[in-house]
Amino acid sequence: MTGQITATQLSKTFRKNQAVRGVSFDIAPGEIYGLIGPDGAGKTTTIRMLAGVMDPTRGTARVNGLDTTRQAEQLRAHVGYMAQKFSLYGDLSVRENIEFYADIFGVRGKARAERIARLLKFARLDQFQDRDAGVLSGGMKKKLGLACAFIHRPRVLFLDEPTNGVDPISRREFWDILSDLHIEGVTIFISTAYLDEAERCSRVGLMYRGEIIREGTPIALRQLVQGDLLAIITPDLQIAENVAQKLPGIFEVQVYGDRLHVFVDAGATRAREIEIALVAAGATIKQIRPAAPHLQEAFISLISHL
Amino acid sequence: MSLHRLWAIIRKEFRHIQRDKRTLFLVTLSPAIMLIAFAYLFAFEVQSVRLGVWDADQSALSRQFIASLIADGKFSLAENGNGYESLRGAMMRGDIHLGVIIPPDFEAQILAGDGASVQLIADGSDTIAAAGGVTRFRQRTAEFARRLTSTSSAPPIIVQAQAWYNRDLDSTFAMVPGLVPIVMIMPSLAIALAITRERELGSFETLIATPIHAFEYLLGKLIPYIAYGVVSASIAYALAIIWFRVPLRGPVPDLLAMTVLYLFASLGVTLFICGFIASQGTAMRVVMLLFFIPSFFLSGVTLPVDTKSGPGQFISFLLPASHFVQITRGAFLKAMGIDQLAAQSLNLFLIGVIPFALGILTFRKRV
Repeated sequence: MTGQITATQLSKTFRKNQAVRGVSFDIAPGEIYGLIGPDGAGKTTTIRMLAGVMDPTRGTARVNGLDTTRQAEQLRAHVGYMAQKFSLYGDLSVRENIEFYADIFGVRGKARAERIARLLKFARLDQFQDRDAGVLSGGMKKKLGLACAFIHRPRVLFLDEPTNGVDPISRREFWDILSDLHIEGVTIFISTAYLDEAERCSRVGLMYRGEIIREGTPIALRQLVQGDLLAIITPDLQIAENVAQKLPGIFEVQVYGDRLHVFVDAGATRAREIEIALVAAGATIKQIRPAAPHLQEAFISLISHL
Repeated sequence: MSLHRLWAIIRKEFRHIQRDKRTLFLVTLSPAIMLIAFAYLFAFEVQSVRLGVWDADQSALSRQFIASLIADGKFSLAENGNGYESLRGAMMRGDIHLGVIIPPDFEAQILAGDGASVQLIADGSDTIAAAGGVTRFRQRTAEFARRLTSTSSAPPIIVQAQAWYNRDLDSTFAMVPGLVPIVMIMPSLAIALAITRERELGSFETLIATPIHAFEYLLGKLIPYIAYGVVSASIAYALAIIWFRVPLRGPVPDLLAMTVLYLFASLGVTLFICGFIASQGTAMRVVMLLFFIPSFFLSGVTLPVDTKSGPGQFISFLLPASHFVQITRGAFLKAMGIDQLAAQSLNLFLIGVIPFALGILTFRKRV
């Protein structure tokens, strides 16, 4: 393996819980690799091991040719890491946060001022530089986190669900920034639970129960998810679920809070059939509409067809 | 080791302290406020008072008298002196609370039927032990005298009590410097909360992925809290001097230098322990349980502790407050400088530097 990020049979066990079960990667320089999976799949543990902040129970990983366990300290200068939890200092201003990481990473002299100014602009935070990081919006916090993780211009960025809980516009903006970094040749390893984000990656690994169950380009992976998704909002969830399961052309029925998610072979025709069947069964339907498959649903669908 | 990284941590820590009202309060005013509360609330029963005896008579009666004093264990004989200077030395070292001087004609005077007199010297810098000890000593002497004479007309033994270092034996007068070690636990609490807060919020995880060294991180945390600790101690000292009118007889620079050593010791231990603690709640309980409560009862601040033997000796020795209480009392009331308190200062340095070094060695840059 000659990639910028390589891992062989990486495993992590917490007491009796095997969080990551022998995952391997070979990621080339300049790739944007998306690690996709539901909560608890082992994404955070995987990223932590690759970024050298957690030791694997078994297996090895190399980033930039350096072993992430034994050469972790040498690795720090080449790697930027953004943890899942917002972990900047809320009582320091935007500028003070960036300055702090610049000093910690030994960015000094002329480069320090230039780079901070450039990153503030880059992250669209230059007008907010004197604002406390704690009062920023969710999206701005994430951008600040990215700026801090990139202050030392690492060749590799590890980003753990950086867009989790961020509004769609900020998410898009965040990804635009990532695209700029990508153009500069930075290798990006990112985890996310959003399927639409996976489409902006050059390669995607689907993680489930500690394993990479599928890996490939977004296009290749999307073809694995069968059919269309319909969302049905109804107060009679139980009846609707039972009825829908027995109809023809249905792959999968999942209950999501107040609604039913149904994977069908053809959305347009099946929607009408389902509606008729449900009304006949005495269920009230508030709404039935096509929906974009969220990754979690796509996942469950994928797994049930494994 | 990079001074830039160290300075980055120090400056960040100062900013955290200055911007968080709770932390700022903990490391500035809270010790002084606690000091006021404790000074007014204190009233303690004396457990065991250490006696130093200079028996100039060396007679059967004088030995009987000494035996009767220590019979029930409320007094213990810690020093057999042979002059004022030996008693003074023992009291300076804190070995004894009370010095008893039995005159050479003790037995002769009693047998002649004239009342004898014994001299009693109390360590006025340790008011709680001294005041309680003097009262009890008078009772014991009276009991001994009653047993000697069938006719209880006039007490044949007169106690001439005198307090050294604090003539008036005014309780708040001398107690206040001794309370400073307890109230100065607040900076330890503040640093424990700061470290665990960084872990709880997840900022620490980001720091792990940076080139920061354990030494830079821990020293960078320590220095701002020592600085603010000195500020809060100075406020407490000023309060003792101005409000409670305790004279500071020792040199001020020495006292401040030894205050820095105490802060280094208590903060060093806290830093080490916090390396193993994940949450602020646990950190608070551990600091309280480990420092506050033992310091209250085992350091000799509130109760005279037998630090010369027994299991209390070890715990007491490990507590920074045990050494610092001797320093504050010595500096305030006995005009002692760092040269006379060198042993206590060295102990504080060791109590600080060992856990600090262990903290660096056990520091794990991993989640």
